Amino acid sequence: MEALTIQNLTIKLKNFVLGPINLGLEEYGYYVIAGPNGSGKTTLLRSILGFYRPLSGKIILYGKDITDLPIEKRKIGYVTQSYSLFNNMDAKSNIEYGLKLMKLNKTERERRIKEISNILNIEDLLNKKPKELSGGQQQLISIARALVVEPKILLLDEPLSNLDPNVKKNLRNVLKKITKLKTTTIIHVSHFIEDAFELSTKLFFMYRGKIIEMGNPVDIINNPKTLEFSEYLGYSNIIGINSFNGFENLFYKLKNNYDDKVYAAFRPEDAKICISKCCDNFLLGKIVDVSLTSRGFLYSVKIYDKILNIFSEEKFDENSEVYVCIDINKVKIVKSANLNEI
Amino acid sequence: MKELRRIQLFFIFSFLFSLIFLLFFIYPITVLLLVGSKGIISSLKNVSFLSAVYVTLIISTTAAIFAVIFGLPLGYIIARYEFKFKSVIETIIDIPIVIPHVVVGIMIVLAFSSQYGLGPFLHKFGINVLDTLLGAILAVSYLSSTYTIRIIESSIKMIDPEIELISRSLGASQMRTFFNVILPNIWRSVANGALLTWARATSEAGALFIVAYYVLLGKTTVYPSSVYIYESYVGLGLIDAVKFSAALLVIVIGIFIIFRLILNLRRE
Repeated sequence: MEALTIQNLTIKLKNFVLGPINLGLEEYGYYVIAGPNGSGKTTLLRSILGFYRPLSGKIILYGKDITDLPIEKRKIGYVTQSYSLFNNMDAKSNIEYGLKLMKLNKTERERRIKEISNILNIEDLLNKKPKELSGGQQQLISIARALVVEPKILLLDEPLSNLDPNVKKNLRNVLKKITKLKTTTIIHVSHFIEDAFELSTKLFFMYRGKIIEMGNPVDIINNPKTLEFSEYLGYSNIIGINSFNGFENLFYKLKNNYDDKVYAAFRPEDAKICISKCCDNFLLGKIVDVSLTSRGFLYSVKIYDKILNIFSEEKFDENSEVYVCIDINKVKIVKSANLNEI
Repeated sequence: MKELRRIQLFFIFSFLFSLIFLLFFIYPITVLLLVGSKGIISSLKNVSFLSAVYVTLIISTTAAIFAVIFGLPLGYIIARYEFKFKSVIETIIDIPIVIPHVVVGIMIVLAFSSQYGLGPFLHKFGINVLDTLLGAILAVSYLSSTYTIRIIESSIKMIDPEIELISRSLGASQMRTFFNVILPNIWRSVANGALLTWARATSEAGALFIVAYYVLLGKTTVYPSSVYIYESYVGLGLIDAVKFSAALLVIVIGIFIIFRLILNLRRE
């Protein structure tokens, strides 16, 4: 069953246009929306919430057109990266807030608070004021507050962004647990591609207000189709394969398969630097810059007019001539997304 | 060493200049209270003076309440929304601060006189501002509400706007969100703003000279306290004016300090 359908949704803000967006989300799915800063992820989320009035298009929730419905009538939960707890209330009152608005009696309110506290393991936090809670604990209360009213859809706007790695891991487990309960459909805006891998049933990638790639997270992350998504995933080396740039010999086999302007994209770890010849299809280059990262040395190697980024655990001197071997099997062929056609 | 000396010099100058300014605030009050101290008790027993203080407190308290009731929505709008001509509205809010108080008095008299603007219409319903409580309240509200509006605006700006979205997503209307989530978080600032408006309204003289030199209360006339003190200065001399001024100061500063203490106690 389709929980949310978005048809040709366009939102115009001061300096930004979102859409047209077309989406169909299955009930109880976990959807991650990724994209660079300013790509429109939060705008899309807030449009679903009802904060922005669309220029055109429809938002349909379980068959009901909610495009013109005010936020408070939509039954959509919202969790932000800044937790946004009500400081004038303790944790329990924060969770109870929505239940009181639903005019549930005290017994039912207590039952639901107990249930959600049990699921999220937050019983000990209920009597604390927001100021007495850590970031992760505040986020748990925020999630409990959104879930306790049983929203039809739960929107998560970068909920893990401000948290330490360990807390992040715990919260990911909490989100997994919630997904397994199959009580709501989750749309999660995230900067972290790990969120998509670990949590989502479908990943959407947004760029300049449009969704340019979507699909099973493992499939689309392993095989990006667009230049923009591959850059986002860390394919920092992008070479035009139909242009005369010195790389023709390396990509000649691929070249014949494509008519359009296409690019070869590969990550810094998909190539190797050697001091002497170490593969058949080597390229000669010169190291122009070195930086130390947590994954080893990151070299900027100049080959013809192009600077390639390549990781290596070995130490090479700046300005030294080196042989570069690109693992052709790991090279992705990508196209620039034609934003006018989407 | 040179750097250390430069830092010390900075602190010495900062301390000295701050001290001079604070003394400048305190010195005239101290002299007034010292000179007028003997007459404070007798002034507080003077019925006509107490009536003047009573009228002043009615005027200033009503102005403060008026500023909160109308300032909350206005402060909220300018804090939360971006729109065309917002800067024009912000200028309108600040205008009362730059207009001389006597001119404000003349403006109020003119705007509500029987001959100009809305005056003829209002006069049909018996609404008159000259020498009435209403006129006095309008004049001091015009001059002192800006403080409340600006304080409300800045306190709302400090509240995460996402909180409102979350409250609404949980089923609360915008109005309910304002009262349940925004107001409980800014009430202290609102109270402080109202206190400033109240204090400013209490000390008003210039506009009242024009609009309500005296206030008609039934069949009697009562001077607002600032006019009362001016009258005693002109008619009876400096020493009498000093004792009434000292008595007024004790009342006003007393209320101000008690209110601030209550606000701080609630914080703790």
